[in-house]
Amino acid sequence: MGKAFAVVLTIITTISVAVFVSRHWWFPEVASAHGGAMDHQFVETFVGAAIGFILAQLGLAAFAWKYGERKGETRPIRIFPGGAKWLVVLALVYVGSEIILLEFVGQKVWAAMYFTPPAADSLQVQVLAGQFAFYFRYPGPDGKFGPIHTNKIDETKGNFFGISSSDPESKDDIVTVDLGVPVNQPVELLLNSKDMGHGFYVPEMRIQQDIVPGMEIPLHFTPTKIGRYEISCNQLCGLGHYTMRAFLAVMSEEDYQKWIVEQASLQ
Amino acid sequence: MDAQLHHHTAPTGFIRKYIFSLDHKVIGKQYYFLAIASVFLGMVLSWLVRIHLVWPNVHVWGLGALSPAGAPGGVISPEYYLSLLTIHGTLMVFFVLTTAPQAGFGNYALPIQIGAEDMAFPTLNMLSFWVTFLALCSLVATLFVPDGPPISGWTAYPPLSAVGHLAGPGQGMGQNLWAVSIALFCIGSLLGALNFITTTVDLRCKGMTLMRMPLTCWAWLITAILSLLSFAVLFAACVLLILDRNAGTSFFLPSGLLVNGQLQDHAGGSPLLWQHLFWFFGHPEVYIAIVPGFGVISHVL
Repeated sequence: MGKAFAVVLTIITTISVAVFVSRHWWFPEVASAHGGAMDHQFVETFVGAAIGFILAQLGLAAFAWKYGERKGETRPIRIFPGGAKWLVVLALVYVGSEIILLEFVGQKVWAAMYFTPPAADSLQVQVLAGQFAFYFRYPGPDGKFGPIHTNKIDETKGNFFGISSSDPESKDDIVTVDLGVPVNQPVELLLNSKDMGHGFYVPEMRIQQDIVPGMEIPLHFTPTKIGRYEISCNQLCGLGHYTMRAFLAVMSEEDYQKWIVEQASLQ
Repeated sequence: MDAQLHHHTAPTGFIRKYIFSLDHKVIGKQYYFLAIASVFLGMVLSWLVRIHLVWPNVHVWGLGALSPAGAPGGVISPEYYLSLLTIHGTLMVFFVLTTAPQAGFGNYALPIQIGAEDMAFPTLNMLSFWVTFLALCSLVATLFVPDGPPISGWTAYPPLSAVGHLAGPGQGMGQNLWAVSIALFCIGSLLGALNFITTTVDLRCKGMTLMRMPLTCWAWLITAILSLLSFAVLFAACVLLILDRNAGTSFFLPSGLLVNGQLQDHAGGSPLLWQHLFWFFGHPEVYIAIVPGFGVISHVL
């Protein structure tokens, strides 16, 4: 019984580790500047956890193999000399130091993403999430966004941002349904919601941020690969949540300039 | 502790023996059967969720009769899918994982393991169970209201959960019943936690020092302390949610919300407040769910 258990446990441990090591089901390819560091942190954490996992499971399997048969067992039960105190202390120290180490190492990646300000030449884009679509607004040549008037939002008339014609900063704003950005250009998104909590999630960019109504939440990243990436809402927002998505189109600088001019002409 | 000195005469009659019993073993079994009933209902709901993921347009027998609005002709609509998973999550987390390990097994075995005659407050124990039962009734009732169960998930984030029926189907009466159910559950858990802590601190028999206590008893004690601290906060959150929904307050709702084309007149609140209050409960909750299990494993091994 003990030997069978030991074998099964070893097989399960091996398969579990192999699934990760093989990277058969792995992350999509990184397409942003900070994504590599984030993936690296993930892998480091996995490896740290895997070492503890393998040691614990194979240790258990070894003891089950050696001492697991009840039949014909004549040895008396022995109390661990000195009690289990030192083993408990060892476990506490091991787990505690792993957690603290992960915090110190991991916070560097977090701080690089969230505590460093966006680059001064970032392209600012306002995002408005609402049941059940995303809309994007570019500031235009004046570099300023006009205010959002919630009471003027009218999707039937295409006024997604509640723009008022009397606001001078709004005159050159460009509202789009796709988020177009040039490659290798730092981007700062200003996330807003008009009704429910939403989420802004682009896995290839390794960016995710909950959008909370009543707050404008900044999120910055630098896309490094040209392509079309899905932006999905990943915070339950109502019955159409499963359809709520938009697209991030990362283009070359020339293509972006053509695109933004075309979008401006559609306003 | 005076509870020990009041020897009750054995109850007679079916109601006193099996329904409104003060005996910790009966109450433990009642909690256990409540958890079993909840787990089976939650399991059926999870089947419906999985069926919808694989075959979105299949007709599920009987569902059309249960909810003509949510599942017309037995086909699960997107909003009904959300309702199903909301009730599934709520049932499993609260009525299975929080009741069975702590209230179910704990009520049954704790007094026996520490050599006590019963829990410290047997009447409170009985009340705790029946309040929890009322909470379950309120939750199951959401399946039968015309607009259906809430669609905001077991975490019920506002504004979706706080704005009211405009936010979507099930967000009217369904969400109200959900909030009432969880509030009642919190009361039951808080009373139960008081009972566990008092029993463990006061009713250990002579010679049963804390360091001699089985690890299961330690686990139930730690879990009860966690429950006391975290369910109180969730209760407050549920009360604030009920007020936001029905009394025009704005604890969780900022200004300028445009829901379904209608500007809401709430102002000054933040959805983050619910998130903080809920998860102040939510993280200890997962320990409340697992620590009794750790205690049992430690004891058995």
